[in-house]
Amino acid sequence: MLEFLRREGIDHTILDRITEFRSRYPATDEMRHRVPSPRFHYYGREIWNQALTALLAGENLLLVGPKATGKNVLAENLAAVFDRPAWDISFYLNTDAASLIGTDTFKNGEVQFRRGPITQCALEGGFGVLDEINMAKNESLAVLHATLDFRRIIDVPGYDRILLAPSTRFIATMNYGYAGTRELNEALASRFMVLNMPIIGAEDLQKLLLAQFPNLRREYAGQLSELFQDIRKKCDSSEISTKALDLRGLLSAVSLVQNGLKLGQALEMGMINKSFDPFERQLVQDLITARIRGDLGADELFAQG
Amino acid sequence: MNAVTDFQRRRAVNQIWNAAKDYSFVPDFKAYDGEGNAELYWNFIIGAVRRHYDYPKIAAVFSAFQQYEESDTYEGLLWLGLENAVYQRELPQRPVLKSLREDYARRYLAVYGAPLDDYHLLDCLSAAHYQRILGQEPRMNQYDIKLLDELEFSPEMDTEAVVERAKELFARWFQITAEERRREHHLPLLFLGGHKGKKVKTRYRRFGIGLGDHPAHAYSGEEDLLRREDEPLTHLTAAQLRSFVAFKFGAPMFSEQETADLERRLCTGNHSFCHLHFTKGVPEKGNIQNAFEALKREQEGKQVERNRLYYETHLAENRTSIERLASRIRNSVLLYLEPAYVRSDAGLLDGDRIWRGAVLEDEKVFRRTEQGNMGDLSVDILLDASTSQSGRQERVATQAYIIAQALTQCAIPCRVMSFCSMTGYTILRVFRDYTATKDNNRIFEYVSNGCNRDGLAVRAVHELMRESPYDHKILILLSDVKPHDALRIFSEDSAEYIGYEQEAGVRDTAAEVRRARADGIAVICVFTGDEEDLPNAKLVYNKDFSRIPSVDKLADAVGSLLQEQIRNL
Repeated sequence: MLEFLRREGIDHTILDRITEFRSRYPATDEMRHRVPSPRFHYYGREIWNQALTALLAGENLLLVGPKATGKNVLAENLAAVFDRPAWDISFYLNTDAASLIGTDTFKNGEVQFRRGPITQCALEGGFGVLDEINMAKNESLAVLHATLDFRRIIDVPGYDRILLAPSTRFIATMNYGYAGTRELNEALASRFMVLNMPIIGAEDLQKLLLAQFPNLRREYAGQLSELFQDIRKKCDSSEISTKALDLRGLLSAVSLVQNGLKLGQALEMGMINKSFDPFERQLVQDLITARIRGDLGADELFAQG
Repeated sequence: MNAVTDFQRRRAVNQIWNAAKDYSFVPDFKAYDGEGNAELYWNFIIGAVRRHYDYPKIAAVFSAFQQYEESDTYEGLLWLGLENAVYQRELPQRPVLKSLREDYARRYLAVYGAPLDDYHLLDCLSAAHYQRILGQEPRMNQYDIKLLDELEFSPEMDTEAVVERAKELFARWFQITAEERRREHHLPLLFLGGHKGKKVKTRYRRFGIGLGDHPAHAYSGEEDLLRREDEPLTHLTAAQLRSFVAFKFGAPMFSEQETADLERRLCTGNHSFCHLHFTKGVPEKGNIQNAFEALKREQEGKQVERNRLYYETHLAENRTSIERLASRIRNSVLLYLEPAYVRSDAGLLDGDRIWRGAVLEDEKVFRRTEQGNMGDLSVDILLDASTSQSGRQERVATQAYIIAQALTQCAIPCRVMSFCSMTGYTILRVFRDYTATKDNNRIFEYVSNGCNRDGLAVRAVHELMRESPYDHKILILLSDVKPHDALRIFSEDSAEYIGYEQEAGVRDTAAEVRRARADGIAVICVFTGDEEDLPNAKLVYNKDFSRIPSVDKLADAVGSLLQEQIRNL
């Protein structure tokens, strides 16, 4: 991971401090399996610089951006860079204190405290990824206020006050304006440093495709990333929903072609069929037809040897 | 040949936008194949022309052709030339175009490839052009070959060069030769409406292997966003009409782009010729145009006063109604909120059951609350503001005020709107928004005006509610269930246009209410009309409506309707 950052052109003083962080807080063997080894790399030097600096300074991060901006990829990458175990905590409408901090349970004939993911993460000094934090109600997130600010504690009623291990960081993600999301209240937002995630540009996407599929012919990587921009443009003008704007789907489609499917069928599964409205599907199909041939197979899409 | 469907039209427009990389204009000319499906390759070219050239200048040339009887031929020829240039410009960025173009050429030649009995300039040149695309040598006389050579514009030419060349070329070739070629008669027109024998140019005429869509304003060079394809006939232009509506009812609350987008999505099917105007009643600057409008405005001002006076006169009973309704709503919400406790192996320790853990090894000695919250509840109130309500405006305003005030007391977000229709526009006026708790007073600004297109109003409010952030949504209509609007709808049964009223209007409204319900919105109606229209209310709202004989019964009636809905959440 550090090698990748160096190639991306991250400032060496930042890299030195990460190395120092890693040697001061080495991952224990029991927790090693929780340290992510990312499949995808996040591209974007500016964002990397900002995120790394904030985390090194002990801040928590809030990643804000629309679909397919790599919020979760970055969060996972960050945990990997710092070599810390990660906890993925998905927020939903009924997320409450018990599901975050923990609750009473009965074991071996006595009542015990069962730790929730936040508590575990805090004790192990891990990286907690609070996914779609704005899906939950602000009121039920109030328990996190003391955890996220300078106090760095979790106070469990009836139990102890848990101090966060010094290497603990929280990275929240949110997709603004998504169905069912709500505005994050000020109290919570003020406990994060907020990063606005930029939309992935055609060039970075091409880079990502080529990194993922080194054999992919450059011209087709270009066309596929242009196709993604075409779809985004249609979403932005609200002609279609963002369902087909699926970066994961695009990457999976290319891998299906590698495994023998024709590109048209693969894109159908990876992108078109993500929408269930026939009209929308037709529009996305038209975008694809106007961009790339559907009968391309592995032999044409990938360079041989 | 069927007419082109809405679906294919939208599709064609989207193909053009994609190629133009610009979504801010309404495309005029569009291409379809023989079955009326959007023709991807040609629509791509049409869009790409917008991207690469200064379109209004090109459109001016097309527009000049329209005065000639042979305009379709000239038009077709110019498109051939543009296609040649634009294709080459786009190819480096979109290699796929090569196969799309060849595919189109093959399809064209399959239909028009064989020598025709009747010499036809455009067909011959097109066939030759497509043969060249496929690497074949066209068999034509030198004369035509030369014309084709000149026509196939090169990609290096800019807009000015293209326009100059086109003007010069058409002047030279057709000034001289057009007369001689008159025997070729004009292209067969495809009649969709059956104007046999008349030389009326229909909107959909042959283009390539399929159809070209020539709406009335094709090639007018206008970039008017508000202009839609099928304007109803009125002496005002689209822009004038819009500003009239804005002046009369208040400034639009959405941007032009957002409104256009909403209209694209909502004004379809039975409402395809309609427009929408959303407003919060913020006055637009401007002068009253005529005495009639001045009088109308004065009357409206008086009506607002009467509304307030009516409420004030019955202040005591109205306040009781508010209190009663509020406590009823509060109770049913509380009742619903009553948390259900379930036994669980984690949660809050249940002292009474702890022995089971020790003795029976039953670990479920905890209680967990479930369904402890029902999520946020919101209520939208929609008032029918058509002229049929004119005799009871004070009562309707007061009823709406009472409901809104009671909901406000219970801290339930509510939005109050009214709707009416005029000159093809359905106007939705927002009096009070969800969080604007101090705006209840504005409900008295309710005045009746014009017609009512209930179906479209429900559809529009449905759309607004979909975008609201609340979990549970209730819509209350105060209506006499008597839809009536001037813009007619097409009846499938009788295959003709019929009025938007009576059975047709009620059926359309019922369909929209059902759609909203299917989307999880609870729709209830406070029936404000007369006895004779009761069956309509039953048809549209099933049992979820209530007739209010007098205002003092309002609290109980609306209370039990709401209670029923909250219970069903």
